[in-house]
Amino acid sequence: MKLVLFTALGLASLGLTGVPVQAQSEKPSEYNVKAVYLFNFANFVTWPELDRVDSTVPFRIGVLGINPFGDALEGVIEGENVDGHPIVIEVADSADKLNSCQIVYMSETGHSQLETILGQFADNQILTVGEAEGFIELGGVVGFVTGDKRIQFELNMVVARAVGLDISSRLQRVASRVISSEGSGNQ
Amino acid sequence: MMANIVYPRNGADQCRRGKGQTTPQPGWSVLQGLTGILLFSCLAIFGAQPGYASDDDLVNLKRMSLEDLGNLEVSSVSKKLERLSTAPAAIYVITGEDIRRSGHISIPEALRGVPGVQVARIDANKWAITARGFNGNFANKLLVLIDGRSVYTPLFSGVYWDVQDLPLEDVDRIEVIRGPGAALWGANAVNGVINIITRKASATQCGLATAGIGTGVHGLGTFRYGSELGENTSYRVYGKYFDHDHGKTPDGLAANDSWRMKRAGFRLDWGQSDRDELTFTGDFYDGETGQTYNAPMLTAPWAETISGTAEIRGGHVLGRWNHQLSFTSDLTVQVYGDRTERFDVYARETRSNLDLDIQHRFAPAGGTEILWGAGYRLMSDKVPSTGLIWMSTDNSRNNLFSAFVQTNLILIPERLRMSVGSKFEHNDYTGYEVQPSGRILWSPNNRHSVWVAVSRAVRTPSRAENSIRVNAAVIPPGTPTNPGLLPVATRMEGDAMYGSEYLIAREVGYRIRPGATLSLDLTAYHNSYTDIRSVSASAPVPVGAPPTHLQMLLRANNDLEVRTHGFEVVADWLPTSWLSSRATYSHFHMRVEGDDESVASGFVTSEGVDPRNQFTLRTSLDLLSQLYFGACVRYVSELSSLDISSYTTLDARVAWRPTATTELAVVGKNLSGPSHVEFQSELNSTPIAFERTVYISATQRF
Repeated sequence: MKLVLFTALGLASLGLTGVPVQAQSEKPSEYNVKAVYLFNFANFVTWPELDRVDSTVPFRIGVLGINPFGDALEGVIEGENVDGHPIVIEVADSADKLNSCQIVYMSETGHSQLETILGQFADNQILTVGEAEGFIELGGVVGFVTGDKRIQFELNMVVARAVGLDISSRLQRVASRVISSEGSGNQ
Repeated sequence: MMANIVYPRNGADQCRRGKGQTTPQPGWSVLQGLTGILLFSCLAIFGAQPGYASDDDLVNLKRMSLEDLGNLEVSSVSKKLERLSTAPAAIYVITGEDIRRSGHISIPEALRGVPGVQVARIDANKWAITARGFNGNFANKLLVLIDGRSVYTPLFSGVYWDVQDLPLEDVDRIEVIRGPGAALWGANAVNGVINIITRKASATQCGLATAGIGTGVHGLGTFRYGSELGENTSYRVYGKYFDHDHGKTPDGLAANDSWRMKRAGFRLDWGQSDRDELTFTGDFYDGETGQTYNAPMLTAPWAETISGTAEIRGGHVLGRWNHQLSFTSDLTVQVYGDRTERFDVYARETRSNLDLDIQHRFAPAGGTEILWGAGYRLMSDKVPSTGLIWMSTDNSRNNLFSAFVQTNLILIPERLRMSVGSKFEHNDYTGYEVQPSGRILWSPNNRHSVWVAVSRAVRTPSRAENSIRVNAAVIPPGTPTNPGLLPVATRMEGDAMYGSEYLIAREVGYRIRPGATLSLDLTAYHNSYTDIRSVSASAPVPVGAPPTHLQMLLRANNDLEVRTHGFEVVADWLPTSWLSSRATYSHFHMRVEGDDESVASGFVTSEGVDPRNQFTLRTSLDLLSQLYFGACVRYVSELSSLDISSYTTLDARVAWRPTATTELAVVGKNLSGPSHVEFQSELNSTPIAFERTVYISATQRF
């Protein structure tokens, strides 16, 4: 019944606007979408080191530098867990404080520092996510790409495998670009 | 030179093709999800602050599939302001979105409003475009590239703007660098580089059709179709046609400046997750332009206006291979061939260029990046005599060898970075030329940065400066300049000994983001040019053949020294997600020193062909869900030596998107004020006055 109601309303709004186009005030903000992406990454990536430990150990999402999400990250993880692990958000100024995170988001870090920090994180099983241009070329695992007001992402499978992360093929298929090692199966 | 191409990163065009979109199940959940958002959001407070994480928004976003998250339009992205702050140069980026929102229908129009760049429309098909001075129909200090292919002609070291075109919907961005880009891009990048970058084929999938009509434009149509050939290859093909009407002289008479062009082209990209990426582009064009030329006569009235239709055609093919050696090192090899055939009213030119470039980029240690490359270009042409203009040799073949090296160093992480490099070239006219450049950027924190640069740039001689012969003008007898009894015919001649022009540029820039919604970018420069083109006149020599006259040769020389200085400001204000504003201001001052006798003033550098002040204010408003409004006010101060007064124009555009795939737009240009003249060509003395125009366009994606 609900399905029919939703569908009927959906068709009605289609009639008004053609293919649904979001009104300006209804468009989600960039960081809401990115927060949801991070949550999706948590579900489509496997951290073998985390699987070995007790489910009381939290799943950590770290934000390096200024936190651009506002309260979007807290909003996204509310009531959720990753394979039974509760989710915790940590915001810190320096990379050493985030070494035990599963995901680290680096937003306003300039190019110059990125390589050094990514080098530090490479010793840990961390899914590094960033927005700087060329983020995945520098050794990051996921880079957000924004163009024409849409947010997509790119993957660096070479680094992912090197740190031991298992990235689902679903994520690889959706990525707009993937750097993977030679001879590996294609997407 | 194709150095520094940054591969475009764009969201895909609105076409639901590709991975994960074919099963009906995801389709229904999309509809539910989007309907949910529409319904819930309709109840939301209008103008809710972007960034406020409404629980409902997040709940609905979480329900969406990954594919749909990627297709979602977000309310605003401020990344543009961030990315520029680490470039130690005066860079300005015109995004594809800026171009589409402004309603421009040609590349020269899209360049208006860039600080430091002068865009003056001579008539419907001719433009005078330059950066930081020395403007002219044959301006020669700006390098223009399209997808890494250089589009300037060695005939006069300038650009034929009447043939540089492509579907503007497929432009990813236009990067404009003011100041010498010579270390990377080579000779001719003296005052600036304009790099037009098109979107990757994978971002322009499915079909796009645009049609437009308006006052001054009989018709404009573009059709583009993109698709995939297997998993790793995408391509697009396009066809474009336009027909610009002729304009009017200030007296209201019809001018002969119509512009008609047919064009077709393609782009193919191969490559995916692996280490290699291949790109091929090509195009072919064929068109006509109306041209007028004042040819001198040895009897009264001493000049006649020749009016005619020029035929121009040409094309190019380009291939580029990028190979990732490791994730800190990559190699790019590029080859392209370019052919032009021009049958202008006053000259004929058939030209073929072949260019091969290699570039290697690698990062040997943390904080260092080294780029180096080598290139070879073969330029061959035929410029047969037309009786009006000819060359000392009809055919020529020139070789250009070049190499460059550049190091980008991070001296203090996040605070201080430096860039040092040089380009080395060998050309057939002047031999070896070196163009070094050094730049430093200091960012005390995330909100400010300062950069300083010193560079040397060289403009090597053009074919015309080397060998042209033009009957320039006839000075009638019994006039103040020629009090004698016989007319004096002047003839401009190129000189085999003509040398390069040199520039030492000193630039400084400052960027500041005082708040999250405001950013300012300031640049100031001081340029010292030596060996700038001048003309030396010989004593008149009698010529017996009737009608008897005296002939005076004006030989091209390098005797002038020029100093220019100025500053440019760009201010961006994005107070809300639906309103944005940008203001640009340029101030320019030039002093020419040396012999200032200019008989053929069009070809000798002079002060007063560049405006002292230019100002642009652009505003964009997303009014309701489907209405987009943009307006631009532009002021250009007078061109004193061309007797052209200052002008202010207002352009406005309203676009309506009834569905996600259809757009209708109305564009009005020169809405305020009387018609105005912008420039006068060195060749033709009848300027064209631009009046109010209205243009309507429809775009459909399928």
